[in-house]
Amino acid sequence: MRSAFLYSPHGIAASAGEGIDVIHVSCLPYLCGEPLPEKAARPYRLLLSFPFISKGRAYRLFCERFREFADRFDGFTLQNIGDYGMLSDLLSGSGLSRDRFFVAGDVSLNITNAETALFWQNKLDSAAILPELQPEEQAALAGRFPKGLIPEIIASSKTIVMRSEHCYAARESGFGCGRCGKTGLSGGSLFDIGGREFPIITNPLDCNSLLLTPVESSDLLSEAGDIGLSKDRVIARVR
Amino acid sequence: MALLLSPAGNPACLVAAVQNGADEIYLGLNDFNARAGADNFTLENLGEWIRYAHVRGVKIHITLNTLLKDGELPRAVEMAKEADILGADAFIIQDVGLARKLAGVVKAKLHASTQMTVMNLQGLKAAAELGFSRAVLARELSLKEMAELAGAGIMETEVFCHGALCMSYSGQCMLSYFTTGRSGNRGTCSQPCRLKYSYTGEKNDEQHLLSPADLCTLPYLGELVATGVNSLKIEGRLKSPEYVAAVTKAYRDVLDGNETNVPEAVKRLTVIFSRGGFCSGHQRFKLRMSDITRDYPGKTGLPCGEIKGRITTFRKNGVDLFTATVKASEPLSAGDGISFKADPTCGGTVNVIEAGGARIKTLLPGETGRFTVSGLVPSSSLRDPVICKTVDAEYRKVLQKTFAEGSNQKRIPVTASLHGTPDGIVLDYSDGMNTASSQAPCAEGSPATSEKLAEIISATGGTPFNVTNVTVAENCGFITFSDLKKLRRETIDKLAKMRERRIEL
Repeated sequence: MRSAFLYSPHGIAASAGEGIDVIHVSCLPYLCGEPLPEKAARPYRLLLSFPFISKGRAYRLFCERFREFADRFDGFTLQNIGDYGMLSDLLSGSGLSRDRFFVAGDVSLNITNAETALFWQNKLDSAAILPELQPEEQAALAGRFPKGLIPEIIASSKTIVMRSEHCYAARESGFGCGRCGKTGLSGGSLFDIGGREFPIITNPLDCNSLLLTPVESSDLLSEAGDIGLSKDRVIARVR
Repeated sequence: MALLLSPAGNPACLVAAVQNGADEIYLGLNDFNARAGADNFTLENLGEWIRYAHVRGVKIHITLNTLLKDGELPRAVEMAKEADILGADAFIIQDVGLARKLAGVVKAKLHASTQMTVMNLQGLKAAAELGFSRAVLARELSLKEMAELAGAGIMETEVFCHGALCMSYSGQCMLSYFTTGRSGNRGTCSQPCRLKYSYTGEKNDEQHLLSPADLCTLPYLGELVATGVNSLKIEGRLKSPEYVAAVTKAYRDVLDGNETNVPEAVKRLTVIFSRGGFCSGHQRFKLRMSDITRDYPGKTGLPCGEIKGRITTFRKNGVDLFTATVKASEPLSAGDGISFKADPTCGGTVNVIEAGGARIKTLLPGETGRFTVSGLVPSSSLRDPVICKTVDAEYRKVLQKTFAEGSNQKRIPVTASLHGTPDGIVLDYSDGMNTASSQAPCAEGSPATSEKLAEIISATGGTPFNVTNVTVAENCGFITFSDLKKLRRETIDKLAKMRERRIEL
């Protein structure tokens, strides 16, 4: 199986054509006014990610619009240890059954051992392993995941390396500048002294931001077979 | 009243924290803690320091706050069990798997590290499900958000009140790993947020864009306490004992209402360590651009005067020196450290101050003097004449006394009671929770006066105890002074022994 994580819904159609089984998509563009996807039968699961930062206006809006989202998405991707409890409350408040949805956990759940994975068994359907583990360690941990929890390994990525309450893109104005617009995707980049480019994603609802892995970061996908990833156990994630 | 939680990267810092008023101390062992670069403690010396702290009413929290691999979990659990036997009061944990392994197994409490990124009610509930009894809340919460979580009554809450801030939510930063291979989640953060970045990729645009100033909540500590959080945490396990002493004392004094001049207290801390002054993090309002230390990410000190005129440099006995005329805006003394605001890497120690044709010890605000300094001056022309105080030599000495061997300013109030029984003379010392008793046989001869007996049993100066109330019954004068002193020593030792146990409050 393969999955994609998209920060913008504009890549959904393109990703769907690549034999993707699961597409995780950020909720931020939808919270900023992007139209929701149509209700439709899809050859893949479309999961809506919880906000990357679990407080503030984006989080409140996400909860307020949850019923709408539940009608249009096949599941949800959790970002924070508190998100499962929130999801349970939202489902219960909406009279919806957990079984109807596929629930994934992102790398931010910091899963680095099987005991942590056990905590998420019976809560999540899949969970990403922290990419700070070596590829071989990730593969070994994937093999120790408990029954019913599908391990995800980041294979090629624009992984979030910093989640900040500060807006990196604000430059002089500090916050509240609104320059990033409604989609929150125009944050530009930061360059380190070695010239590596780290893309920024901004959140105009809360004026916070994310920093992503450098543009030229390595691609694990080609190594996936070499480190023994079993295709029926591991979702190679493509961001 | 919120508790004050201080850092200890080594035993000297622990003594500094205890003697300056910490209620709780957090420290790491050699492995599995987020400050692998600190000296840290070992299982061999941990027991001694736990006893030292417990006797003085201070709890010890052990940091096991890194993410663990499967192969590391058994050793981490074993380490925690051994520390638990030694009397640790709490473990600060990031790894969910480790929490699952320790919950219900150790007697110490489990505290959810800020690395777990708990920032809402659902996060607290998840932490409670894992067996945690306290959560160190994310540093990005506002005072209002803290109050909401503290008021929910789900578990105890702890927040940072002073020290370095991360640019990323703690536990959600992989920048160090992806740029250097050193993982902040595994205790080896290389601090890439203190390096230079640019928005354009151009060299002349590079600044320290991800480096926040340090947090200082002293100016609004009352508001922070009013949120109802249970513990106020000082960051700094990599800092010196002088730093731990100064910051702990400053917060202790303000919490206890013993500091009448908070701006002066902030100035003292600015000298001890600050990055271009302080900020309130995200607690009062979001981090402002002025809170980012764009020009220099290290220690800058307190602006204390201006260079007037030219600086003359020379070398003497292989040492770089310079002389300059300085107009002071803060007191400056020989022995103090100064740096240049334009280039904080330059500066040095003030050797001599001359004014009015004579050497003086201290230059007061508004006065002008000629300084001789051992150190370097910026190589480029001096754009900004402001100098900053980076070391206050006199205050440093005061701080060092607080953690010097034999320092004993933190003393527990106890009551002393001496009375007679048919079997002899009994001495009790009580701290309100524990009462230690010892007995000595009656002696023959003239009875001692009550005043003399009271004087002897009150003389606990070299111990961690301070006798605040003495009762001497009428029937207990028949004891020799040497026996009574021996009885005092035995009873004090017993009380200390009783207090060494884990603090269950």
